[in-house]
Amino acid sequence: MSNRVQRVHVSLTHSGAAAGAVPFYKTSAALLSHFCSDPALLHRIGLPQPCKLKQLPAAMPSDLETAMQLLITVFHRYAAKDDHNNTLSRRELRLLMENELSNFLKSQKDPHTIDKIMKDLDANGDGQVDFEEFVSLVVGLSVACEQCYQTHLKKTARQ
Amino acid sequence: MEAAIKTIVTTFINSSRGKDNLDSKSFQKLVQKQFSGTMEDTDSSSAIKEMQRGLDENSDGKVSFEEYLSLIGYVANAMSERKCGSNADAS
Repeated sequence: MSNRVQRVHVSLTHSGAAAGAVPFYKTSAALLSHFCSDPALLHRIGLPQPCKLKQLPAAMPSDLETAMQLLITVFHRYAAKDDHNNTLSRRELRLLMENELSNFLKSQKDPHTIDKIMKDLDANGDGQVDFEEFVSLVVGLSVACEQCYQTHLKKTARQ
Repeated sequence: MEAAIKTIVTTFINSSRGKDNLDSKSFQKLVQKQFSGTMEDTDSSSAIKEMQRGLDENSDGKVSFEEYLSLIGYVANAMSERKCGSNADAS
């Protein structure tokens, strides 16, 4: 599983060279394989299964909660476009990335980016991306963003 | 959606004040501030410590960005599953 994710290297910067190629899903497969499917881990994190989420959404959600809600809303908005309402097909993933991640896509010169991402995300090989698989895209992008930020920090520190 | 990713990254960076890892104090603050609306027991510091131990893959006593993301992924999945569940109930 980890081999699968280390193949794709993308860069978030528009120049492509500034931050270098970032290992895209470096951590996501490892993360996913345990936080989604290992019930023992849920206990280890101190969140018994089914986890202790509050029954009612908060009246004043924090930034992070809002961000997570948004990810879920976006996923389901695109997932509902065909018969499989809880998964993204290749077409839906393309639509989602074109509309929601246009800045990221602009920096990709390879026209096959979406196909490659689809192949990498689809961990169980059913041709559909479910929410758990979609989260690894978010994780990969977040790691790439964070690495860009760290590179940027080091650069400004040197100047 | 790009904004959501930005929020996830900046939340970590603001809490760690530019460092690579969150120490237990900043992690506790982050959980209390950001997850109090979603998770139970965020006001109990022992529950948060327990959670931090569970996240700490390399057992260095700190929470790295990757470890932080696994918490986000876990909570987002749980939220999503609950949402799907309630949709199924409604229909």
